[in-house]
Amino acid sequence: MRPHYEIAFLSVVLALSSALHAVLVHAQAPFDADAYREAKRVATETFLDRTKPKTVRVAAANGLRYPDDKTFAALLSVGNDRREDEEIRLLAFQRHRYDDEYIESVLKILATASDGGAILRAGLIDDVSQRTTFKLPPELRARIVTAFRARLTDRSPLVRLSAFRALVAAQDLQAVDLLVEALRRGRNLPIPKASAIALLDLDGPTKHIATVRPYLHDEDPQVQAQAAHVLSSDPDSRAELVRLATSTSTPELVRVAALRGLSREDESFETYAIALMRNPEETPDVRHQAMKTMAGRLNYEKSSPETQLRFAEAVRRLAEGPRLLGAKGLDVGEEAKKLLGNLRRSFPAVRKRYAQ
Amino acid sequence: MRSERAHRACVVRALLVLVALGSLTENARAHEAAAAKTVQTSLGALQRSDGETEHRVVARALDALRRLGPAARDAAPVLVELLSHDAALYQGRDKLGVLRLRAYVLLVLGEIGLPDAARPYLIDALAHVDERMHPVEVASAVRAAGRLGASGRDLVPYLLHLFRQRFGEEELTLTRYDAEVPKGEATTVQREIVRALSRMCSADDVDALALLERLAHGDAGSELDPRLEDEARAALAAIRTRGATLASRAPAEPAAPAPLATPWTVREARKPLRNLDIALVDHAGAAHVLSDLIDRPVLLTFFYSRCQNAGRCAATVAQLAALQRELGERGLVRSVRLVAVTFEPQFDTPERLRRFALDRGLALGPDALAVRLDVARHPKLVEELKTPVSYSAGWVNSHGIQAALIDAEGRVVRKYVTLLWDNRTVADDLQRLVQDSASR
Repeated sequence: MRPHYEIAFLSVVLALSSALHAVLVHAQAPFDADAYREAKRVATETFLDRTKPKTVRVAAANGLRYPDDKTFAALLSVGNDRREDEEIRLLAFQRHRYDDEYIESVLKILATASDGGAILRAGLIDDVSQRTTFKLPPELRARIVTAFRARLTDRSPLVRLSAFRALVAAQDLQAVDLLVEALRRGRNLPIPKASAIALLDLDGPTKHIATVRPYLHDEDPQVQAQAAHVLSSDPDSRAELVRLATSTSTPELVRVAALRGLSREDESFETYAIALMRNPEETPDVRHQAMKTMAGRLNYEKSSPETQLRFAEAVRRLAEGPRLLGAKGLDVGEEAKKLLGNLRRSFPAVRKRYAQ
Repeated sequence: MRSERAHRACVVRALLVLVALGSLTENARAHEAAAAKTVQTSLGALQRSDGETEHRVVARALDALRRLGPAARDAAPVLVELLSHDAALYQGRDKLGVLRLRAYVLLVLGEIGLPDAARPYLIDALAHVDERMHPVEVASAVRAAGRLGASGRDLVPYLLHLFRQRFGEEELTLTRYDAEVPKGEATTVQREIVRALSRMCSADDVDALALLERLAHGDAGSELDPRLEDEARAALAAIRTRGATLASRAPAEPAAPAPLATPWTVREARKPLRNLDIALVDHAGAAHVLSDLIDRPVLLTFFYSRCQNAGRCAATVAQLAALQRELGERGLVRSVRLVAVTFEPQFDTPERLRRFALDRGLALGPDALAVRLDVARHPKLVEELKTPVSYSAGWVNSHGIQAALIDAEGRVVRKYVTLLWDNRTVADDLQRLVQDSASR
């Protein structure tokens, strides 16, 4: 380049970069520490002010950020104060750090029948079980488990549900046993049937097949759906699940659950999944679910190029066909378009057939 | 006169003693008869039970025996049969039910008197422990081991190894079958280990004593349960006391070692397997018939990719890989065949078989295969080989470890059971079979 062109070129570059810098600087507002601290102070004061309305205090809880020691002490005081509203007490504990004072206060509340209602107790069980996923000192773990086990027979269904969720997630034999026994009896369930089956699914779907089998034809579609998911790993239930998944008289909730489970377990899944995708008589949500679960199956299982192409063709038809909107406004065609792009990227056979 | 009175008093006292003794003897006989009746009734209930029997009905029968303690020792052989993974009691039962019942059978056996025939199952329970096992299974086995006292000393290394497993501090009860843990009944695996050590160990068990000393002084690690300190002190006191008392006694007879393999079956006594014409697919997706693979000596074992116990299936296939290397060193790789059959043919696709085997070091090919049998015929081979496994809806509930040595004519020569087999022993056996075939 000749020198004067180089100078001109450099000048343009410098001018452009200065302009860009100015734009960027104005686009990013600098962090205002004073404003942050002030907002936190106001939120803390509002939350701790017992004269303020509950809704205002609840809204202020989000602004507490990470409290200082003085605020932690105040939060503990609010949490332990029986005169306070349950929700406020729960928020106070949720915002408190996990330390000995926190856990001692929470265990005391859980052990005291007259302290706190269902919202507080269920919320504390959830909070503790989330915060204690790491290894605990054994004595403390035993105390927590004992406290939770005592709540398995709490009067409040909300508290019972929290306790079962926390304990089944830890594979507690007592909690799992209670659910299994109640489901076998079919009555006096401590938590809703659908939740009980969902928790046994969490414990391990192949561990509770015989217990869950009777519920595949429960009158409640929620229960049926949960049972369908568990029983996808039951060879004896396979034929029935396929029938439920492909029958238009089955509640949609159940069909979706059956498809999800079958996509994991059934080697012949593609035959009916693709047929569902192609069937214009089917609802958009069922066609979408068949597409989604089939895509999931291809993610995890090896598939032949023929299967990939059959599936891609079914996806293409959904992408290019008449507009299909699911019950919650989901645009099935748009989802299909995105999926087709992914299939092209993932499978050479599809890329070759549907080169853009 | 006085002497006559004294004489009469003596006679009366003697008569009273005789009557009392007679009455005691009568009571004892009645008690024994009642115990025998209870044992008979309970055994009848247990022998009639299968996978459909309500588990609490089974538990009640076991409780009746438990209450009798050593007086129920005649029930032991039946209970040992119930420890077998393929017992009818477990077939079709959910996994939780299986593990609880098996654990309770082992616990009760410990209390009525564990016979030698039960030892392989006890070792199986203690040696193949994984963190994902339920603590009640492990705790029951530990307590049963403790009941052996000094004759169970060979099991101490397993207990020491168990001590730091994750589930060690989970609370449970062994006082009853119910899962609910009433106040005052809670125990943990770690506590059971300390108590068992107190019954089994002597002053010579230096590793156990070292652990107990550290526990007693609270310096075994901050993550351990501080409540173990008292248990450990009591255990040390019991061992020291027993050591002093036993010093004057002859040492206890060591228990007969648990059989880890069946005896070698001579050629003339071997029976051909009936279920060899089973279709199968191998790790590469190639179809075969099982009989095609048995044209040379074969070691056949079972595993499944969903096995959550790293001490069982993963270790089994890894052991097979180590055996393969041993065979390589002896130049026997092409003369024998290693076949790993999945317990779950409906789930273990060729890709899963391949991955599982390769990840554990097994070099797959015509000499070593991972296979899945035809789903419908698979149970036939499992049954014929008396493979220790229980199923529910086609999914494995529990299983033991077993490998079968099969000659080139499709006949079982011996089985290696309970613990992972010793590769040198198996390699020796395979070599012997190869030489036998070559000499014909």
